[in-house]
Amino acid sequence: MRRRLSLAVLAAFMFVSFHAHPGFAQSGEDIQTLKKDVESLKEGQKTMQKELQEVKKLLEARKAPPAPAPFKEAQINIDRAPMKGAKDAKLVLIEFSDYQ
Amino acid sequence: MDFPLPMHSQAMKAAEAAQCAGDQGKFWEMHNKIFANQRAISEADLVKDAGSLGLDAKKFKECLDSGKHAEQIRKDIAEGQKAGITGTPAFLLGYSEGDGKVKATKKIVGAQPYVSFKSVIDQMLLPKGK
Repeated sequence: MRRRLSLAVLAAFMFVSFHAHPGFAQSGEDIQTLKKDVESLKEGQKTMQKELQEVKKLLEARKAPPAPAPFKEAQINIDRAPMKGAKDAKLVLIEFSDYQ
Repeated sequence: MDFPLPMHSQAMKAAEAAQCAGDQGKFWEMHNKIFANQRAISEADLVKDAGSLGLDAKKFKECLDSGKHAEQIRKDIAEGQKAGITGTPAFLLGYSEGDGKVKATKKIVGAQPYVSFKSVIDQMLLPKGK
């Protein structure tokens, strides 16, 4: 019984205090404007998040260019290439070159 | 090896010109001449160069027009691409296996200073196992 009473008192207090709060003195028009502002802020945030995700995706795609494989070995046929030096030299230096 | 790049529109004919000069025994002379005048390598320039080297102008022109060396040059390009060459100048260093075959084991990309070549060559000439 005592508990029910205290709840009722609390409810009454809240009712009074809320409605006495200056914030609630705003007109319905102001609240509508605020709501609209909040909505547009939310929209803006959504767009930003979407764009951030896109930027992130682009960065990730760029992050991993496959590193050129280190040179290991190759068989090269030079029998028709112009050459200088001893034909039976042990070591061969092949130049790939163009004239322009 | 010839490796005329596609973006160099005159490089292919220039490479053919050096090979045509080679047919008359003057590959390196023509090679050096073209490099010395890299901005003047139109067909007329190439014919003029050949003349100044004392080559038979008619034969040279016929050779250049026939494109008879184009296939060999394309083979050179393919050979380079097989070894991962993508630009010029680029160098492969390897051991001769006879019969015009080389087992390339090192690659140098770009116009590098003398020491870069020296260190690679010195390393390659070390006795095996060291």
